[in-house]
Amino acid sequence: MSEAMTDWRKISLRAEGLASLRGFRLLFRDLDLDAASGSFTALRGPNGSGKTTLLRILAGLMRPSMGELRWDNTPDEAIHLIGHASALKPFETPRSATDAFIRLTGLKRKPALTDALLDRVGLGRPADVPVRFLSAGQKKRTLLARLLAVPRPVWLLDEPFANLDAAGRELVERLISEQCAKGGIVIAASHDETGLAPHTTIDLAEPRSVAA
Amino acid sequence: MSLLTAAGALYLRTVRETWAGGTGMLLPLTYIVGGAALIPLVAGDAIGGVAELFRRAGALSAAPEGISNSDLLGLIAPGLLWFLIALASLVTLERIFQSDLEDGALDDYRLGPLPMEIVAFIKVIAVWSLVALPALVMLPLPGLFLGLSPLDSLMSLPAFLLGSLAFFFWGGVGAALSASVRRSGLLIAVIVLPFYAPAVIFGAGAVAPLASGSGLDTTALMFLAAATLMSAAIGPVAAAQALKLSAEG
Amino acid sequence: MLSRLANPHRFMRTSSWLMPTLGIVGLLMIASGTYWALWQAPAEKYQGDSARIMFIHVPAAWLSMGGYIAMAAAGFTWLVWRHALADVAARAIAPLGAAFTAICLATGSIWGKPTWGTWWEWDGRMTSVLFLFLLYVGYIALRSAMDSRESAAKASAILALVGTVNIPVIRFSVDWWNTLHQPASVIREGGPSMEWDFLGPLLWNAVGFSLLFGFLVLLAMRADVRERQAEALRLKLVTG
Repeated sequence: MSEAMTDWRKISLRAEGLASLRGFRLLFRDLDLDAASGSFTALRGPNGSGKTTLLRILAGLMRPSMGELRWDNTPDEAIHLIGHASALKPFETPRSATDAFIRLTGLKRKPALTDALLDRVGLGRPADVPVRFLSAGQKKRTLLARLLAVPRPVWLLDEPFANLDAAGRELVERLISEQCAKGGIVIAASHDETGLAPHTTIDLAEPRSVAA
Repeated sequence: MSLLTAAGALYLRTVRETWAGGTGMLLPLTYIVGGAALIPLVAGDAIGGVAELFRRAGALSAAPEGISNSDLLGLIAPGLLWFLIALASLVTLERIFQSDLEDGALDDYRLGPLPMEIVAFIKVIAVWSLVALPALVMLPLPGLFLGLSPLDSLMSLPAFLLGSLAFFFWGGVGAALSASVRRSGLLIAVIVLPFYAPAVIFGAGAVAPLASGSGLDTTALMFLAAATLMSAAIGPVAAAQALKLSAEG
Repeated sequence: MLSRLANPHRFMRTSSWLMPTLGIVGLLMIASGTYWALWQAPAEKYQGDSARIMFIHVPAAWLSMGGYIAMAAAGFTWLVWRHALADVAARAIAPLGAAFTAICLATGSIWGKPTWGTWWEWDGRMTSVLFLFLLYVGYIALRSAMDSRESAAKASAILALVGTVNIPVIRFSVDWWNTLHQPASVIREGGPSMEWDFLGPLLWNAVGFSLLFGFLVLLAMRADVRERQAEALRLKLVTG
């Protein structure tokens, strides 16, 4: 994947009339979402309001019951989805997990680079500790490492601040700012208010798009 | 960007996952060898009874009076080996997709460069190469317990190779379909056993002439190869579909 | 969306008259066909009166096979067009198809006792039907294991399609096995030739049983639709 950064400037997402019926629960309907290069969209709403479902629909992992989704000028494998689940195998370490993720994307791993970004996310010392001994915060940071390890324009983040201390939260805010500065699209579902002001907020309790 | 790198990484990760638990290959190998060792001990007089059953069902139409138990064992042994391998496939495949579904790795694969059909194919091959392949290599040992000469065991390898692949590909379909079900072992067995039938029939048929000193039944072997190819083509496709749909919840 | 699921009006209207029609005509045909088969048709040349069970056995076999194909087709329809009624149909057919397969096996076994001397033989057809029964059971088991209607529909549709592809393979393998092990013993349906004496009641019964099958499927489907409508109403009450 050797997409030049400048390609990201043209990407956009347009979703119209999205609705999701899970079983017999209507999670949301008539949801519109526009996201252009460099934008940060926040999804708010109580538990069970469909934030995770919406993210998965945007990621292409689920089909919306109604509505349309359009990505423009995005490369293949353009999306990072960081969800609730840790996606880490018990025998992996932050280093091996990050390397594995890099290789699963088809890229060659560069040990020096992995070291550097593990340092960046604060996993310099526990880099070789098996996942089962890591704290929830450390597991989260391991997931954050992959955002840096493999550059992809779209970040769909489900509760990115969860399990992190103040330093961790700052890290996430910085990463999001940098990603938007590079022209990426970030859509994050979160309970917490953060220091970072989103361009757009979508409240799933009343699913109409509200500009910040 | 290399798909081969991604494929290799997936293969290794799956192997490590299946291996993890410390015992690695020891477990499936012990199962095959131990299971084969158990049978003559358990059977004893029962061999005669089982042979009678098979005779009545027409499987041993040529078994004459006065045949010794060990000869009977030799006649039944390949069939029992098939049974052991089929069972091994069911047991080792149970969690193959379930853990990925639970820990979110499935989402990673879907968002990655490899098509899900390839993902399913590689994962199945990975488990097969860890569980079945070593067992096949060691086949002379359980074969010995069951009265097969080492030469017979070696000659039967192509049949067991193909048959075990078919078991694993179909087992993968069952595992993918029931990935969201807790403790799905029995469910997987019920779903896929009919699909195992052609491989068992052709496989056992291919190996049967060995007992009487002739070589493999090549017709049966070719049918077995066809059945295995079919499982390799359809299995991963069906499994991929099932995985995509199970990830939708 | 909710309305799409909950108001299959046309189906309910049509089935309200179609269903009893199928049922009544079917039962009449079966009744008359049974009389024809048991009393009117001559005894089979070699097997005598015991062969009369064929008039149930063969239609059951056809329905078991046809049922599975219909179930797979319904699953396919659902996968492609997501038409809720398709899944309703598949769900309804499964236990009925399984039941007819069991009837086929049972009648085959009963037929077999005087014919072969044992209750069971690994005859090509009977073995294949046994596997068909296992396919049905696996399908039903998979459906039951799924949490939601949605996932049950998806998983079972895939399984039914894969199963359909495998049926000819299984059949072929069993027949091949049979040519090696059972050169002589084959159920000859209806004796040396299918004369009108046998064909008549056979076809009549087959149609009768098919209509009965249709009646039962529609009955099950209507019950399922009502159940889904009730769920939807309950949901509306809860969510307001």
